[in-house]
Amino acid sequence: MLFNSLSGATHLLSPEALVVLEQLDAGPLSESTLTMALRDRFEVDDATLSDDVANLLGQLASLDLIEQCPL
Amino acid sequence: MSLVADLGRAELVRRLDGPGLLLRTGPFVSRIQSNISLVADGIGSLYHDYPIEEEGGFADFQVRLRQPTGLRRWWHPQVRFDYDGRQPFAPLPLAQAWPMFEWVMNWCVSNRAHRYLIVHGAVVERNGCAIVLPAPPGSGKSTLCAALVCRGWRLLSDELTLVRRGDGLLVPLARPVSLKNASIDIIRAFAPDAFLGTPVPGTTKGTIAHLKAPPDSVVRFSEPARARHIVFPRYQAGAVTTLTSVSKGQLFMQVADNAFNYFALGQDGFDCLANLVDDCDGHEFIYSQLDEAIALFDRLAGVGP
Repeated sequence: MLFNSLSGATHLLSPEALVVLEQLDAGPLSESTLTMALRDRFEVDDATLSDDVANLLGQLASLDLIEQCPL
Repeated sequence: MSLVADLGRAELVRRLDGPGLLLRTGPFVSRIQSNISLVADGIGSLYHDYPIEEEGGFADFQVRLRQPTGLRRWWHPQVRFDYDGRQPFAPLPLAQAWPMFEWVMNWCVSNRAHRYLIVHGAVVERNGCAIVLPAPPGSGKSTLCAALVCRGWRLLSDELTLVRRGDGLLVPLARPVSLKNASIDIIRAFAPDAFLGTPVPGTTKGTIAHLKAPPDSVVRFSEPARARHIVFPRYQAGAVTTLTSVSKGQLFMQVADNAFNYFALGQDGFDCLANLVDDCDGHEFIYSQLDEAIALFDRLAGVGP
């Protein structure tokens, strides 16, 4: 569970989303770094993972939980 | 401490029609003013063992239910609810004065008592184990709650689960259990000795009758309880009694959906609900037989085989 204190919204996160937010807690990371972190945690193949990560990041951005920034 | 029963009918009517009756229900005191005999009848029967405060004392809620004077007194007589000088609801036919009293007593708590996280759901307790039953209307929640309290469970509330934000304990608000339509005869047959008020037909919810709260539950209004289970009941004719686990995440979201003031409380509401969910196991519960349901609840509370 996640409470967004800026929006007041409550989110029920998937395990994958939780890993992404934990990774980003310390600061911005590239999509490829996040993909590697998810691959290490969930043991999925790279082909499906890249699409899934892009979708996941899009969903998290649409919920205002993350935003894209230049590295 | 004085009780409603100590007043006698004449004094009860005088207070209601004059300075107000200061009725204690759980942690709240309501100043009730009414010139309607149906309201005096209901309080005199369904609340006769409830504590009252002295005239002129402090009240959390100011509740007026009045029958208008003038032509309306004779032509389609009505009951009007007035809260602190405002009228949040349209008037109802006078014959529905008692159900309206119960509804406005719920409304006062769910709209004003934000020092609690308030969940739309019943709470019962046995053997130190409190079980929360959040559910939408029509799920069979009140029927199940009524059956449980007729078989020795303590009633904390039929409608409003009050979660104390400091320590997560459930605060009792034992008031009459609202039974609707077929549930009225089901509980009459299940517990012939239980006291039910007069059924009122034609309300927006159909026919309504209220089951008196057990005296022991009223006396123990200051004893909070720790929730151990959250059960989402669903009555289904002919169904086998079935209890299915709910994950903590789903449990959180479903309870939040049933809370009146979760969003108003912000981070405090989130923390309070997270603690409640941590304390509890969550279950979906389908039932058709009350005796089987009660046996299962007894096992959840560590009572019986």
